[in-house]
Amino acid sequence: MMKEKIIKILLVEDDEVDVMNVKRAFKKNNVTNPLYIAGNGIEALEFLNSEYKTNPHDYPRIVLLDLNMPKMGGIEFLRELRNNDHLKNISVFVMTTSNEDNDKIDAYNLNVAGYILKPLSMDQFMSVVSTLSNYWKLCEFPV
Amino acid sequence: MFKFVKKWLVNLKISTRTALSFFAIIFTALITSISAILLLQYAKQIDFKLSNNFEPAITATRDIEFIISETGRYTYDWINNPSKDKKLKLQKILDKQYRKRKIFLIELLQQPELEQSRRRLVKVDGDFLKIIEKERKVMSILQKDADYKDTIKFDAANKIYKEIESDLKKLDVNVEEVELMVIASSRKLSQKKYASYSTLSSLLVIMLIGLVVVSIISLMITNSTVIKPVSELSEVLDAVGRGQIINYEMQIQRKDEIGIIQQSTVTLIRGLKAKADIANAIGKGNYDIELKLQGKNDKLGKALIEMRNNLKNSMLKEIESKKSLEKYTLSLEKKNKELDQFAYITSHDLKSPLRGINNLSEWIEEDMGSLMTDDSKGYFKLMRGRILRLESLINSLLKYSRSGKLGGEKEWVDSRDLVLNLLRIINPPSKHVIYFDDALPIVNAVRKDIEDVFYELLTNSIKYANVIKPIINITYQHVDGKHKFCIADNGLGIATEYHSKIFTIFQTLEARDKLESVGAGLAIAKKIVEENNGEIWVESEKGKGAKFYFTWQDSVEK
Repeated sequence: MMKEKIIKILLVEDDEVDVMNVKRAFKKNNVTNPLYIAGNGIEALEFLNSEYKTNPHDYPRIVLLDLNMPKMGGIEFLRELRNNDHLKNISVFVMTTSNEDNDKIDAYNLNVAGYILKPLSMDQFMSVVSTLSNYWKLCEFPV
Repeated sequence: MFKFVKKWLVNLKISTRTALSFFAIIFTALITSISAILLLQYAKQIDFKLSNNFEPAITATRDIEFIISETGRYTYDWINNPSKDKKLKLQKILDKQYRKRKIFLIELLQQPELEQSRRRLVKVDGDFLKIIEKERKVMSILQKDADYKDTIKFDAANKIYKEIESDLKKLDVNVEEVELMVIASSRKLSQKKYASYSTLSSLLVIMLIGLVVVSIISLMITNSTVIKPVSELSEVLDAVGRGQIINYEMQIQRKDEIGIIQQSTVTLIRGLKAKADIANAIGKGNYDIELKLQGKNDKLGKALIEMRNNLKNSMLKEIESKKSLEKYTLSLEKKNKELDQFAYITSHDLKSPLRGINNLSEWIEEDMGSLMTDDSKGYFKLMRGRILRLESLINSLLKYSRSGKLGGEKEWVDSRDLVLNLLRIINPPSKHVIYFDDALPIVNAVRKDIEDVFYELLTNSIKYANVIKPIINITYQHVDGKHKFCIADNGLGIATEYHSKIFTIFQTLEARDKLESVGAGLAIAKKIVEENNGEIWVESEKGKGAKFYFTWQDSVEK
């Protein structure tokens, strides 16, 4: 039996309540994947680069990305990510309040795995996270 | 030949030419007059000779003739019937009368034309002198009366007399010859006179013809060198006066006054043409064209320069004002974009803390669980209701700020299909009956815009048609080149005083708690319709339903 490999997840989010929201949703849905937090695009890129250097086989393969952030926004971060030879294969889920067509188009043009509108209420978000965790489990099977 | 003469002529001044023709006429007249006078003088001389020499000569010859015949008669008479008186008379004739006549006649015959006659006369005179000699012999024989009776003497005298008689007869013939000769000379002279008269008359005729010819030539020359070019020039100048600038160049170079006028005309036309060209160039927008003034008083040139400068200035001003207008438009567009961005960002940034509040309140409720009183639970519910409303307000604000601003390509949209699709999406409650005009048109519009307008109006009508049997009727008319749509319901209706208010954002007529509505739909519809140069209005009375109208341009806008 193969050893199950747990995928690391990076949450790029500047709003503390949203971070808590995600953490709560993980806990409720029994998602045990290690969750790392970055406050903006620049921090996220730095984190991913250093992770890749120290541990090239086990760096976060999934990113939950907010779009409206200080210093470096989500779209900008995505663009940098897709231009980085090592990191361009990372799956990115956009989680945002923006329902703008432009943002959606920009995001999908940069190969995102999903575009999740942040709902106002906790309950709705829980169901989203449970769907996502099923998907992640699929990804965790060894290649 | 003629050309050469013409070339020579046009190089003379008109005054010189006029003087030349004048002198030609005068000269002709003078020559003929002098000749005429000379001829007349000649004829007069002949006349004078005829009357002073020839006619008296003829008379004198006849007198001599008469004297000769008288001599014969007297001699005969005296011999046959002698008397002293007769002898004396005879002597007188022979001594005095003949002598007198002879001298007079010889004097008359001194003219060269009568030379022959004179010679003849001298001969006659010689013969007569011999006769006189014989007469004297007879008289010396018969001196006394007694001598007549002396037969011997008488016979001797008679014998001489007979000689005298025959001599006289011969002499008579000779004298007649002299007379005839004089008459012949006189005739000759008369003929000369007549010849001179006829010469005179033909000379006069020649003079007349010469004058006519000279006049005609001078007229022709004037015509071809003055009148023709002058009328040509006046035609050209007339054309120029009418504003038609025609080509005019001189056919031949000439140095006379006409040539000077032609030169001036050429200069005038060239100047005008140059100015016309410049004016045309200015008219076509070439404001940098150079213009040389023809002198201090070139008013036309100055006016052209002024026109050019004014046009240039106004063009520059126009460009400047266009630029500033463009600048202004750009800044306006920028402001508009900033405003949109502002509304968009504000709404966005308002939403995240709102969500935070909502999350936190949910967590508190969760964590507290049974520790919370029912009152507190109620308050939390109310709070989340307000949060929801705030979110939908923010969403409406977002939608309002973005509506009609997306731009996009205009296309042909079938409004009937559009309404059908919308009704499918809105999915109104089954009690609603919705009619619509089959003839709903195809309109030229940005699909999203017209869709939004119909969506807002339809949802509005459906929302407020809360009677037992709601009916919504969508109709269409084509008025004044515009599409006019009407969405009518049989709902609550709107009192007249609120008709303008309902199109303002966040204005609802019902309390928000009663009917979930934020009141942005009609404002959004109004915004889009007006941005597409249409109008939107409502016709309604309280309790009698409402008719919402809007118009849409029927043509492809530029």
